[in-house]
Amino acid sequence: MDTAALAAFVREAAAADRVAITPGTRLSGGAIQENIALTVAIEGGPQAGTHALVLRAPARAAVPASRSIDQQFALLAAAHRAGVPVPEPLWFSADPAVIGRPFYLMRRLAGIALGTRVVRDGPHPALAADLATALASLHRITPPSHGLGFLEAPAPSPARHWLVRLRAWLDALPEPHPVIEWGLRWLETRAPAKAEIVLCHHDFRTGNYLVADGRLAGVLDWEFAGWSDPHEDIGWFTAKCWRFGADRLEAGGIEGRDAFYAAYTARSGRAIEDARVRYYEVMAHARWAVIAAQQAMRHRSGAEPSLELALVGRRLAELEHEILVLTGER
Amino acid sequence: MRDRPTAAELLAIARTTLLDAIVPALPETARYEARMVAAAIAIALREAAAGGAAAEAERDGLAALYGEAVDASETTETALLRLNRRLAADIRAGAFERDGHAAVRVRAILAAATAAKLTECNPGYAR
Repeated sequence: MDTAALAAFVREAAAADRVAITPGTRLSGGAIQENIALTVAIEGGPQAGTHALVLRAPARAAVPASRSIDQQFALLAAAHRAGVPVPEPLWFSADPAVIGRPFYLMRRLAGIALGTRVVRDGPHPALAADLATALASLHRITPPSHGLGFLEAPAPSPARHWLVRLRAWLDALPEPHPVIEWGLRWLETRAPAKAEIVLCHHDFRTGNYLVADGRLAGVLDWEFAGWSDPHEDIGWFTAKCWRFGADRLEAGGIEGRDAFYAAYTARSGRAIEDARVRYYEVMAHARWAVIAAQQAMRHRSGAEPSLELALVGRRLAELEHEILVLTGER
Repeated sequence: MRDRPTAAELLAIARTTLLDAIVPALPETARYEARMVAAAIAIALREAAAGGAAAEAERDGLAALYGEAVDASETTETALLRLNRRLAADIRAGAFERDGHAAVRVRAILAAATAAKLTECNPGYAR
């Protein structure tokens, strides 16, 4: 990376006299986006001092529904303004002359994200309460919202909007997936006609937030955020596929379902409709199954040979098993 | 005739060596990758041991559902792709919803195929 060009960009953006940049390691969690740790020493101007930052830029093969980097920056900024704990977004650049791609810089937070580590030795009630608070703050953002005009309205309803998209994604895959189709048909015949529309993260789950000293440090990965039913974010969080083996703690593997619902309701003033959360848990498994098949295609197509992506393709079995279990009782 | 050990035996001892001798000597960042290698070998081994019985049963179930005789000139793989394409489209169209008996049969076919995949991909996953 050309740190001189990057330093010149920061110097201008921070109205500084001098800027020195020390590139660090590539951070994990960058299957779709690239996250690079930087230490930025700023002399002069309002931001003078040494800052631990992250540079985020799009990686190679994009995934459908992944938002562009400028939109991610806008979403992160909106969440930050709403009081959601996130890595503070600092500066965005669309200029290809800086690093060859558009990118943004944000503060680097300390903490662990790895799902299997986060769920260890649960329950974690303080963390769950922090997450409920974060989600309630996010869900206070409603359309129209300044700076988020690029977000499409989920028409005719959030659930049906997803069904159309997921079926289009399935149709672009080389093999048929009848179990996923079974789940989507089940969802279609039970789709809620109306929903409250708020800003949803769309990947709010254990593994996508940083934990420091048992508390929430920041919610990560805003690339899928958009308008939807708040129950969708809750159902994604409580879905079994994101409990990292801590299955009895149905809220993200860290807390009981009822306690999480109560914490969210206390902070949002919104009553949770349990049946609708369960509906969105079926949707969660169907969506993750389609994404898993897409991830495997990134490997299979030769676009991005990767053992991790290849193995994700073999997680379809457990996701499809859940779809059949969850749709079998009603 | 090939000499022993068999392909499965070679993969099994390769996996054991990876996990017992190599992983402990690796730095933490590389352990994750090495365990993924072991997981991939384990899936391939279970799949080879299971053979083609589940695929044939799935093909037979789908052929019976659609009133087809099994065509010996069509490979199981080709038949499964063709029949599952039809099944996927029919499920999407709600084709089995007026006939409760058909819906039960379809579910049973899907459940058996999924259980067979799960046994190969993640045998520890149970509910």
